[in-house]
Amino acid sequence: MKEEVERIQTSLQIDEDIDLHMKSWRVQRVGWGHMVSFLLLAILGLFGNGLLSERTLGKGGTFLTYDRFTRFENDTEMEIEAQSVNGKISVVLPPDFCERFKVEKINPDPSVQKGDNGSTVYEFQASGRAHLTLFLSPRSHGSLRCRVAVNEAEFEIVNFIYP
Amino acid sequence: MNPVYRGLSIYLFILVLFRIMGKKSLSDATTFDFVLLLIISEVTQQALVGQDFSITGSFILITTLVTTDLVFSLLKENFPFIGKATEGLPLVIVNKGKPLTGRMRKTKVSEDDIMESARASFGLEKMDDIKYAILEKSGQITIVPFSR
Repeated sequence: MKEEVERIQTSLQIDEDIDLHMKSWRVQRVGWGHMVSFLLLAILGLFGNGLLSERTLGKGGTFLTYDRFTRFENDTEMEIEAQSVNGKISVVLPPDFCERFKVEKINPDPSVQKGDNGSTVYEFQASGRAHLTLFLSPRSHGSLRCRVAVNEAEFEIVNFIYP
Repeated sequence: MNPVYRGLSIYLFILVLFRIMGKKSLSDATTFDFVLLLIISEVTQQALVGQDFSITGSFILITTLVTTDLVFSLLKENFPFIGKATEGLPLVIVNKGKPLTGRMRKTKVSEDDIMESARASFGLEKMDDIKYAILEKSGQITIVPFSR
């Protein structure tokens, strides 16, 4: 049911401007639509934690799962599933990655941790298949595109950190 | 992020959001609305402060918020349209004893809200006793009774 907005004359000394009111009600309607779509996108994971955000890459039996969208200082996880080679698994994080993310904790703990040409290398002792979890905290906002290596496999990480 | 940007973006976001939410008469505010306001302020506070617990950080933030507010009030003074756009305008919702239902529906004000204000300010008994009721910018409903 659509109801007309009344136009009236009063003796009040008042700056009413009914046209502006009607315009602002229209803007409000559009704004409500935007609010709902913002929430829907948030549920879907455009701002992290959701379907649109989670991404799994696989190469030769090695899998890497991470969040494509993350938020500043909001912890995130990167999970790696890999087959050990000669009793160990190595993970190489490039300098760009380390600039954007602080590695808070790794489960299980790496046996070796070293720098290599600006990259950070972690080595894990493992037999058979192993599941590694890196707990990360974004420390600056912006986009990131880099390559993370697990054993011999390289994965291209594309990520955006919201402020 | 720099606290100035943080303060600015949150100020503008809240300004736009509350304007979009629409005018709601104050008489309509329930206890739950107050609790909601408290929760919103709590969430805002975390985003504003982040990990920065320094006194300098708080000085910067407070100055940012107060200065932005000052700039807006100066803008409103010089460009009345900005004031109208950010704060809205008063709206007549009862004209000579007749409730203007189209306007009331748009602003989510009920006849009960109007009568409550009429009773509180003038002890009026019926809608017919109200000459004008106005939903003010502040969200209050003011009443002009017929002169007896």
